[in-house]
Amino acid sequence: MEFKEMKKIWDTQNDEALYVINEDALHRRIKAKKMGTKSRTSFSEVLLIASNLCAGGVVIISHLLKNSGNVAALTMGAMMMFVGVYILFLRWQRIKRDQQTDVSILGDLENAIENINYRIKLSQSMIWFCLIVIALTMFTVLNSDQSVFNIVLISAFFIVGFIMSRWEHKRFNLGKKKQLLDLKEKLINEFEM
Amino acid sequence: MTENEINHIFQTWLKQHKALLFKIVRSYAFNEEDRDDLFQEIAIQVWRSVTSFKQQSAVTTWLYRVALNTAIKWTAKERKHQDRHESIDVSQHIIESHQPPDDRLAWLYEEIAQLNEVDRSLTLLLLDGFSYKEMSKILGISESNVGVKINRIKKHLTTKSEKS
Repeated sequence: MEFKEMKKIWDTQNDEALYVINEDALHRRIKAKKMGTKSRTSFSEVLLIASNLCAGGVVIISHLLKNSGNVAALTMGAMMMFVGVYILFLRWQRIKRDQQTDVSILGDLENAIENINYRIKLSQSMIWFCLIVIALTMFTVLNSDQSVFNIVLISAFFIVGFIMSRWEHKRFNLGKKKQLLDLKEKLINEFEM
Repeated sequence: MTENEINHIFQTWLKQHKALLFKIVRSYAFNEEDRDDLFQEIAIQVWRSVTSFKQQSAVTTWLYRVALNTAIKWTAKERKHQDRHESIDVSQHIIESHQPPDDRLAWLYEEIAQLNEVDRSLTLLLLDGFSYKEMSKILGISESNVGVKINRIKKHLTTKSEKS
C-alpha cells in the first residue's frame, strides 16, 4: 500500500466520529482532577511566603510589645520576614520565566525540568532554613520557663515536620526530575541519528 | 480571562477537534481504561492551556502540541498512575466507541502502536498533513532531522503493508 493510500484511510476519521465523548463524565473527572492538581509549586510558594511573613511578623510584634529584649527571637522573626520576601521575589522570577517558554514539546520539557530544579532548590533551602528556625526556637524555649511536656511537644512537632519535608523532597521532587530527564534524553537520542 | 470564557473556548475546541484528540488517544493507549485515562489527562492539559494560547499558531497545531506532549509523558510514566488513588467514578467511560472499526484503519493503528513514542507522534503529524516546518516547531527539533525520520517511517510502513 502506498503512503498516499494510508493517508486516505486515515482521513476517513475526520468525517465520522469513531468515538463519542460522554461530556458529563468528562466534566466530573476534570472537576475532581482540577482540585487535586493545583500547581504544587505555586501552592508551596504561597504557603511558604504566607507562613514566613505571618510567623515572622507575629514573633517581632509580640516581642516588641512585651519589650522582652530577646535577641534570638527577634533575629528569628527578622529572618522569617526576609525569607518570605525572598521567596516572593523567586516566585515573581519563576512566573516571568514561565511566560517566555518555547512552545515546542522539547521546550516544554526543558521548562518542566527548570521548574523541578527550582522546586528542588527551594525545598533544599527550606530544609536548612528550617534547621536554623528549629535551633533558635529550641534555644528560646529552653531558656524560658516552659514545662518539659511542652518542650517535648514542640520538639516532636519540628521532628515530624522535618521528616515530612525530606520525604516530600525525595518522593516527589527527585523522582519527578529523574522521570523528566529520562524523557528528555529519550527525545534527544531519538533525533540524534 | 474568566473561568466561563475558558470553559467556552475549551468546549468549542473539544467539539471542533475531537477527531484529532481521539487519533492521539488511540495511538498511545490500547484499552478502554487507558484510553479514558489518557483522554482525561489530555482534556485537563488542553483546558489549562487555553490561557497560554496566543494565536501565533493554528488551533490544531496548538492542540497537537499539547496532546502529544501529554501522551508522550503519560506513556513515560510506565503506568504508575497516582490518580488511581483519587476518588473518581470510573464506572462511566468518558469516550465510547461509536462506529464499527475499519480493518485497514485498525491495521494502520496497529503499525503506529509498534513505533516508539517519538516516531508515533511524527507519523500522526504526517498523516494529518503537517509540513516538516510545523512538525519541527511542534517537537522542537530541526527540519532536516524531521525529514530523515519521516522518510524512514514512510519506508517502514510501506514495506509492512506489502508484507501483510
